[in-house]
Amino acid sequence: MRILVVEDEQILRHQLETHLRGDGFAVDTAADGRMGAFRALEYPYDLAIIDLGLPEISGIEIIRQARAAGRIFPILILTAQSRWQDKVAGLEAGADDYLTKPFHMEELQARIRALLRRAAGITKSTLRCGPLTLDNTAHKVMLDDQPVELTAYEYRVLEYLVFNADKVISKTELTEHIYDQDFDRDSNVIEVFIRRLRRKLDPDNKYNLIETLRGHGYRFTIKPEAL
Amino acid sequence: MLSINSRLLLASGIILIAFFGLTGYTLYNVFRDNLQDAYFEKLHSQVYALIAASEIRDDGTLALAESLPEMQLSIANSGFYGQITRNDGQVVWRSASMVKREIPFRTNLGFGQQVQQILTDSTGQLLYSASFGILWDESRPLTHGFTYSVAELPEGYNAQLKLFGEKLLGSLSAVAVILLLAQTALLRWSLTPLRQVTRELKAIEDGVQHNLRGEYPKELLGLTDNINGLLRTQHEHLERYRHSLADLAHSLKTPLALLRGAVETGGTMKYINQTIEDQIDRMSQIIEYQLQRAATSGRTALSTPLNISSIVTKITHSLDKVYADKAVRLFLDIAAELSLRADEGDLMELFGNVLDNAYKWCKGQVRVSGARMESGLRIIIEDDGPGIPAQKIDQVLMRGMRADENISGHGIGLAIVQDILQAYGARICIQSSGLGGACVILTFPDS
Repeated sequence: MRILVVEDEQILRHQLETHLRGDGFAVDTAADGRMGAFRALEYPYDLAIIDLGLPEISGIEIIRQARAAGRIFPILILTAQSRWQDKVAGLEAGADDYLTKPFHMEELQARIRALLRRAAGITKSTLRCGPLTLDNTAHKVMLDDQPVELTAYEYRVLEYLVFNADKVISKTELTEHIYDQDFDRDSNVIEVFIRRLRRKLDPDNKYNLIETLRGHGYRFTIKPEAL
Repeated sequence: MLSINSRLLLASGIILIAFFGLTGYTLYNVFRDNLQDAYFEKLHSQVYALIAASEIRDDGTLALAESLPEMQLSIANSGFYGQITRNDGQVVWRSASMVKREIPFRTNLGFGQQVQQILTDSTGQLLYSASFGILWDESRPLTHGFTYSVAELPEGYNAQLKLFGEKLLGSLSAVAVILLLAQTALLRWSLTPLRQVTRELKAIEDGVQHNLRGEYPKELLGLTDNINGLLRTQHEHLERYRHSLADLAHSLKTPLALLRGAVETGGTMKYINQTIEDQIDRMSQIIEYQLQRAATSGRTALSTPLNISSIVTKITHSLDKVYADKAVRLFLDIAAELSLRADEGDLMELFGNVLDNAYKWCKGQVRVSGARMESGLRIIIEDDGPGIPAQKIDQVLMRGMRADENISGHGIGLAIVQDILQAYGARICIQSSGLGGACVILTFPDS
C-alpha cells in the first residue's frame, strides 16, 4: 500500500515517514501544498495524509482538487485546528477522517488501517481467505494456523492482492502500490515476489491462491471473509 | 463623498429654485395676459367712443364731433391715434395726433367684426391697436361699411408689467432665501445626534470613555445600541482572551514543573519516558481546552438566527464519515424552522462535541430531537451506548470547570460544552435515555 504524506513541518514529516515505512507502507512525501496537489493528482495512492495548514495550496484545496479529479483514495486530515468548524470543512471537502495534533502514532496507524480496510469494503482487521488468515493490524499471516514469515514487500504484495481479491491486478499496478516515488522499479521483481509468495503460502499448489493471467496480471482467487 | 449636510442642502436648494422659478414664471404670465386683456378692453371702449362721436351725413360722408372723446387724439405725436377707413379703402378720417406716420390698421372689417392686434407703425414704434367694423344703416340710401381703429403706445402697460415683474422676483427671492436658511438651521439641528455619535466614538477611540452614553433619538437607537453591544462584546472577548492566556500560562506550569522534576530527580528511563508522555498529553489537553474557551464568542449584539437542523446535519454528515465502520443509525427530529441566535462556530463546537460523544459510545443508534418549549429551546441527544452512571454524572460535568484543574480523558469535550453553554446562559442535564445510553438535554433560554 502506498501512502502520500503532505506535511510542511519537516520533523513531523520525517517522523511520519519513518513510522509508516516501519509499518510496511510505501511512503511519498510532499513539503508544501503545490507538491502535495501534484502528487495527489499524478500517482495512484491508496491513502493520503494531508495537513490542513500548508504553504502555497491549502490542505482543503488539495482535497477538493483530488476529489474533483476523481481520486477516491481515503484521505486523513492532520490539523492543529481542533475547532469543529474546521473539521467539518475538511470532511465536507472530501476527507474521510481527521486527527488533531498532537496525536499518538498508534492512533494514526489504527486510523490508517481502518480507512484502508473501509476502502476495500472490509470491516474487520483479521481476514480469512481459505487456509490463510491475514491480520492487517499486526501484519501477520497464518497458514492453517501456523505463522508464515514474510518480508515487508512480500506482505505488501499479498495485502494488496487480498484487498483487491477477484480483480485482475497488472504488474504495473502492483509496482505502483508497493513502491514509493524514490524506488528504482523493476517489474521483474514482482514475478519473484509472486513466486516466493506461492512457495510460502501454497507449497503443494493445492489452492491456486494467486492466479497468473498471462499478459494481464495476477488475481487473488478467494474472496476474504471477516473473522 | 458629499456630506449628508451638503446633500440635503443641495437637493432642497435645487427643489426650491425649481419651485419658485416655475411659480414666478406662471404668475408673471397670468398677470401679463390679464393686463393685456384689460388694455385691449380699454382700446375697444375708445373705439366705441369714437363711433359715438362720429355721424354720417346724408351724402354718405362722415362727420366727427367738434370735441373728440380723447384729448390725446388732437395732440401731435401724443402716442394715441385714431383712424376711420371706408370699406372701399378710402381713409375718411385721421386723428390730428397721427402726424407723419402711417399705421397699418386692419381695414375692411365686416359689420360688428372686432380685431385687436399689436402693430408697428412707419416710425418703427410698437402700438397696441383695436378696430371695429360698422355699417351705417337702413335709412340711408348710400350705405358704406367703415372700420374704426385706435392705437396706443403701450407705455403704461410696459411700466406696469415691469413693476410687477420686479416685485415678484423680489418677494420670491426673499422667501427662497428665508426657506434655505430655515432648512440649514433645521439640518444642523436634526444632525446634532450624529455629530454627537462621532464625538463620542472619537472619545472611545481615545480611551476617554467605554461606550456611547448620550441620549439619542429613536431613529438612532438601533445604531447606537448595536455599537454599544459590539463594544461590550469586544470588551468581553478581550477579557476572556486575557483570562484564557493567563489561565493557559498558569496551568502549563504544573506539568512543566513535573517534567523538570523528573529530569532533575532522575529515575529509570521508563519512568522518565512515562512522565514525559503523560505530561505531553496533559499539556495538549490544557491547550485545547483553553483555546476553545478563548474562541467561544457567546451571544453577540449581531448574532443572526442559525438553523439548528442544518448545523446538526452538517455535523452528523461528518461523523457518519468518521464513524463509517459503525454504520450509526441517526434519528433526527428537529423542526425545520427551529433556530437560535448564536455564533456558528460556537454551535458547531457544542453539537460537534456532544454528537461526537454520542457516536463514539453508541452501539448503533443516535437520536437528536429539538423543540421550542415554554422554558426555551430544548435539544436532546441520546444514544444506545453504555450511558453514564448516575453517581458519575456530576463528576463528568464538573470536570474542567476550573482552568488549573487536571483535565484528562474524554471529559474535555463536555468541559468545552459547559463553557459554551455558560456563554449563552444555557443549561445541560444528563440522564439515561430510553435507547439505553446517555441522554444529554441542552436548554437555551429565550433571548
